[in-house]
Amino acid sequence: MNWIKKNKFGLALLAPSIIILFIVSIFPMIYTVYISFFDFFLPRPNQKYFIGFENYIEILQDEMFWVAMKNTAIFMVSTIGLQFIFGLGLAILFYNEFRGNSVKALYLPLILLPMMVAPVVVGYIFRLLYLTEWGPLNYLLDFIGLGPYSWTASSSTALFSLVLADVWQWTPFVTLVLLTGILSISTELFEAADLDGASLWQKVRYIILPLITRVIAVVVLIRMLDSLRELDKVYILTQGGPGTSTTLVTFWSYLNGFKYFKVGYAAAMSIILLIITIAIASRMAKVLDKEED
Amino acid sequence: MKKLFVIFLFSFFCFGNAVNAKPEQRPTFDNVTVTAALHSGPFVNAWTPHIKRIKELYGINLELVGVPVNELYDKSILELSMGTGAFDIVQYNPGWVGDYIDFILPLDEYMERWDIGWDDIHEGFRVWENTYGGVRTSITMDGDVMIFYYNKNMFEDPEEMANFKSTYGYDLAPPKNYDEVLDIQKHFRRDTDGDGNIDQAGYSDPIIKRGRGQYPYLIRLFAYQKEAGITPNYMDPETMEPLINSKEGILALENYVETVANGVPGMLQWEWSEAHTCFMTGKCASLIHWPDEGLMTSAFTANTGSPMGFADVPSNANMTMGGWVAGITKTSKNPEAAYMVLDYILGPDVSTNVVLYPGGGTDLFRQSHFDSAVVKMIAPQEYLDYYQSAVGNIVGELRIPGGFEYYDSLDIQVQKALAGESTAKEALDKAAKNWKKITKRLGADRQKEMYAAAMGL
Repeated sequence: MNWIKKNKFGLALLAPSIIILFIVSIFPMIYTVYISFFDFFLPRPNQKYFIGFENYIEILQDEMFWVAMKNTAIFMVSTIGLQFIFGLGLAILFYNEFRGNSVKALYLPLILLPMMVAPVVVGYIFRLLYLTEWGPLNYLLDFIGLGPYSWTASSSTALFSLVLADVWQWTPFVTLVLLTGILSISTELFEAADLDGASLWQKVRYIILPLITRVIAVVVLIRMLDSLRELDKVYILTQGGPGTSTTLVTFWSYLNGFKYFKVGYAAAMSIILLIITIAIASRMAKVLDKEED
Repeated sequence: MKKLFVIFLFSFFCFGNAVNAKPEQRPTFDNVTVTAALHSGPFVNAWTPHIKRIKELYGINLELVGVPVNELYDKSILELSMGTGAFDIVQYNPGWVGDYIDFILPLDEYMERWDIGWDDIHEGFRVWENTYGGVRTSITMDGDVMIFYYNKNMFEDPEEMANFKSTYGYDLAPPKNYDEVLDIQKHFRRDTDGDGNIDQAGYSDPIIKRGRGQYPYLIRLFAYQKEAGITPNYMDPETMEPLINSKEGILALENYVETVANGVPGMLQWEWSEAHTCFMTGKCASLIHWPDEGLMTSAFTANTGSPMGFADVPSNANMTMGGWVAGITKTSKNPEAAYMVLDYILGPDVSTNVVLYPGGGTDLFRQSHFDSAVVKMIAPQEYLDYYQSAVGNIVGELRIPGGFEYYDSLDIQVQKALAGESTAKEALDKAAKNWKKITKRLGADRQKEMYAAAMGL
């Protein structure tokens, strides 16, 4: 009580933010937890039955949920891996080649363009690119004798097609963050390495990577969370098919919530996803703490 | 070109007449607003020219809310179930009526007071789209049904005919069943430019891609059921046991999988437009599709040099594969005004213009449309005859609560079979298991009752 009295002014300043946060974030989350214990079919809003943990049990026994989780894991690992490799390569390129060169530095904003495009638009762009018969990508591949491929029309390549679209869009973001990390490293270290005749690989291995671990962890964490909630490209490009090859967990949750209107079931799935997200984030935080020690 | 110009002039003339048509004994309103949630694009475009006239005739301000087609179901259900009263008129797929039925007004009373030209609506649409459990609940907006189209030059080429007969032992002709469809697919499948890639198919289904890929399976299921002397059904009406994994169901899916596998690369991702383009450019020898192509015979001949052929779908088991109807919501503050809007736009006088509206994307659904001089100028009589015969052979959509979920859970399994992730039997057994779960969750007794209402039992 005393504490409130003492911090009255500060609390008054914080109050609007707390109220808004409660309305748009905390209350919906509490309501989601609440509704996840009900059998609630939206077209019959007056018939809502409490079923305890049944939704959770059903989800864990749902074959499609596990297929979606597996696809999400593959999508997450592939996109983050490729984005990191390409992002690091580009960051080093920008650091080495374009630093201090204003004309060359113009390329940086240009390569950032994909991440400024709305994910839905990216979906539409790649849908056209991937067309088997009339798509420009297949035209080029065919021209050089490497194609055509049934990009999104084959279950063996559809998930890779999604990965490719995501890598195209988000590699610039990874590049930007990693470049910031590299720029924060003292130039003296690179100069010393040059004097010792270190190769580029040695500089990456012994200077860059160890000194930007925290930056890497942050960018990986952000991209992991983004991958977990990927929906737009799946919706536009494949609708989860062919077969179930591109059904990611958010798309499965979306179908249950907004197409089948199994509101309680979809809410329970969101809670499970939230738990997974928290687990990943806290694991990453632990890794970071360890690094700091 | 000359023909097109004449059609344009004639349509324009009729359009003018339609807009000026004056309904009889209809009430007027004092600046009442009616809001209609419509499929954005084609339907909004086709309705927009009538807003002014509706205001003049009835004093109704008609507001059209365009909703992307993929969001029409979820957006409407959200608004309706929350009782927001945002819409007076909703456009929906007849297959969704099981979920809409609690939120839409029965129209019998209105229709008795102001006849909307009910008897003029083709009987197949009246039964399978507009009536539910004996109650009139909607008006058809788009007369969807399936027609078998074929490239006459390809089918009547003497060399093709001889080769086909020597391989398959019977004459090349529009198929009587889906086994013959598969033969046609295999026969015409080839690499026409010699680059090593298959670029010509014998046949395409209307939609294959995840989302609506269950339809080509269902139309086959009904065909196989008919051939076996069974009344086409999704479930046993007595026990609600799914029939999708029956012997006929498995044959249907095996045929679907093989037909797609023998198509051109990329077919798994085909939707309306890809199938349409393939046929219209002569890359598919035949096609089962909605009625749109029959109004494009000139374009087809210009592209391919061939006349367009028409036939009934195999075994005469037809489906609307969607279709669109309009209903009035129970939360409408002005249901009479909403009815007047439907009465005007979808009534016999104006609807001919609406269905012929360029880019409107809607198909004929009234007898007066089929008899219209403008329609007869654009479309060959043979096509119109097959079209009407097709409407008489419709097997209704699965119009029960959860209809979307039943379809989608079937589509997931059908897609798995198409992609080679499971066999037809495995896929359909899983789909049937899911259907049973949905039925149990939504209440088996109520579902049984609704199924009987939906199938007119």
